[in-house]
Amino acid sequence: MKLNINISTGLKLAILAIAFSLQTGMASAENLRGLVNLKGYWKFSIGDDLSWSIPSHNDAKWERVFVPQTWESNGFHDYNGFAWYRKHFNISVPNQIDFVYLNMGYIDDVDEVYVNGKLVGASGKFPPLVETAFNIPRMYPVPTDILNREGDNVIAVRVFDDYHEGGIVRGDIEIVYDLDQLKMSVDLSGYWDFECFKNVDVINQSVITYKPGKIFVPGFWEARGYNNMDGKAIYSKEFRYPSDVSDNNQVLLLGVIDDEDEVYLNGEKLDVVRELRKWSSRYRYGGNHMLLRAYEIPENLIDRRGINRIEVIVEDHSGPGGIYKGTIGIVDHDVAMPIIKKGYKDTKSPFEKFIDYWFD
Amino acid sequence: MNRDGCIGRFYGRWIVMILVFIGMSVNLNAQNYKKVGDLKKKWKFSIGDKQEWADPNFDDSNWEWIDVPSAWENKGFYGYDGFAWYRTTFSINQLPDTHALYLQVGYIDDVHEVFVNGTRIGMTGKFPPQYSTAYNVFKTYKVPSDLIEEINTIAVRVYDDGGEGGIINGDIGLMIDLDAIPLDVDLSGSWKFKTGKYAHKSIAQMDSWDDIMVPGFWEDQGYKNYDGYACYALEFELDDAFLNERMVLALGKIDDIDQVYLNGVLIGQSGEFKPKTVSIRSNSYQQIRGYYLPQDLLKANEKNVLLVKVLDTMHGGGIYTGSIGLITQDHYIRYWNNRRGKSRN
Repeated sequence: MKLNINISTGLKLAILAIAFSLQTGMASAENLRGLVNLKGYWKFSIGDDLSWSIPSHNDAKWERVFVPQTWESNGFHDYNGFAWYRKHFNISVPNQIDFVYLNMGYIDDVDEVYVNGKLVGASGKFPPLVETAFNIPRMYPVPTDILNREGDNVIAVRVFDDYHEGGIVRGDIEIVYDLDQLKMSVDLSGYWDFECFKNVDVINQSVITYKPGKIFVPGFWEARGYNNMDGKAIYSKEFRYPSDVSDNNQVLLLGVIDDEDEVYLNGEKLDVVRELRKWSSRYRYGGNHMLLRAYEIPENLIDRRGINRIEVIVEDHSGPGGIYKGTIGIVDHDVAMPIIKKGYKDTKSPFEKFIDYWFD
Repeated sequence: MNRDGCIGRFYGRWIVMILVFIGMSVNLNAQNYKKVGDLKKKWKFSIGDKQEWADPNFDDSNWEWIDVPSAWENKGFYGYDGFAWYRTTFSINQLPDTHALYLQVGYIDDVHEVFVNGTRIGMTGKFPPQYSTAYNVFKTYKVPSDLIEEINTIAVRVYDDGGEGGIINGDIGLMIDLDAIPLDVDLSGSWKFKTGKYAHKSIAQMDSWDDIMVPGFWEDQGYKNYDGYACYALEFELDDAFLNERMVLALGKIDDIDQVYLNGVLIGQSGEFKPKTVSIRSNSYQQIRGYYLPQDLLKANEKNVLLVKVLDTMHGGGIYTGSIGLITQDHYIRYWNNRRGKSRN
């Protein structure tokens, strides 16, 4: 009896230890370089005044709160309504980068984010008819030309909380860029043509990265003006292929997609890279909202002289949707493999990793 | 079989206890009162019933003295059932703040109405002929600040149907709400009220609607057991000093959900205004309502019309507690920052 207990607890401990060691690799599929960590104390005021977005606004008398954390935990119990957060920061950006990504974590319920007075993103809908976006991770692209590389920059976040807990509540709060993106032979991040059944929300038409009929990729479409949209949308993009790059053995990386996708290059449907198919018979094309998409480009499909066209049909069943993070572009198979491998491993739960470890 | 029955009764009693406990803790959470004036003393008292006894100028010097709280049966009116009135006065000199003043009358057996300076500030239960008792309801009423003068007369009209009668129990006194919002314009007091899902369509005839005290449950004001849709309306005028400011409309707490219009424009709602919201937002009734008003919507020197649609799906309903009125955004910010400071000390 006593022995039995010892064996079973020992086994449990061992499984726990393995699960734990596998979990540490979970951090992120992306190869992100942090430029500014914005976690910590911010200036905070309840109320609402659009002039608080102006960089020179004097917030010396504002309260100080910790971000990310609900404002209830920051001492504002029972408060619902408008509030603003402000923070000053310095940043140095590599020259070849046109956009950096501002992660604001989860905001409960609605937000507008201003960098140096310019509206860089908005999610949800402000009163009187509020729509929450509390379950959408806020990632907004920031054009590097609005950043002050020599001195002071200011982020101002306008938040509305409709019910219960509110504020910039959790998640990574930082400015980053994706190092793997720089390895692409053809960089396909940025603006894509976008067709869906919904009109973009009015406020998002004032976002500086907004272009009519287009969407900035990567990013959840809920954080680009299509709040509460589930169903199908079509992303498409035309590009020219650089003459100095081989078109043999190339891979199309499409970031991570929520939930399912079908991909066409110059009219032909693409197949998932063979390694991904081989690694796991459980992996089915398009079935994983955490998995980095990697597609094989057949020989002679790329037009080396003319215009190539990629079309991605995305279907989202519920919650946030779209091509939402990760590296997007065309790159040689050998360069792509480590990126794919990392993306594959990092999407597995500890249990799946455990199963893979023993049975693959 | 028999044994099962016993267990059922046993657990039943515990469940009732627990429910009572939950009910109590909700009440305790709801308000943060501090007593600032004691009214446990001798009041003027007369059996009978005359409307003019609410009038502050009425001369009650010939009335009896009676201890409050106590059943009048124990104070010389043994066996009396029917109407009686209580009167007393208080001065504002000792009061720290008249903005957030509440009159706590405790338990009154069976039905009552409370007047301050001749204006009714609340009632609980129902007088005959549609008599309905509220002897087990503990009451505290907001005293609208625009009623308050140097010396103030409280008059309480009581109807006792049988058994003990009067202001029988409780810590009777003047209270202030420590969490009260320091309003610039107090809009608590008598509003217009109409039940029904489409009541708002007759807003043009709001003069013919019923009167209701805000804040206060509608169940206590003649709508016992009413669940469903209702409309509150108020006309008010505003000093033009406030027109340059961003204003916030405080509506206290509302049971369960609401949708608010000012001068015909929707300014906010506590979630989608439909029954399913009540179950999604199960503690909507505990949320403090503060609606930021769009600028240029308030008018000076003419009537502003406020319309609040309310949906209550069970138990108490309506704009039932808290600070009701307008406050400038600057003052609202200061209030919440102070409140944060207090909660940290």
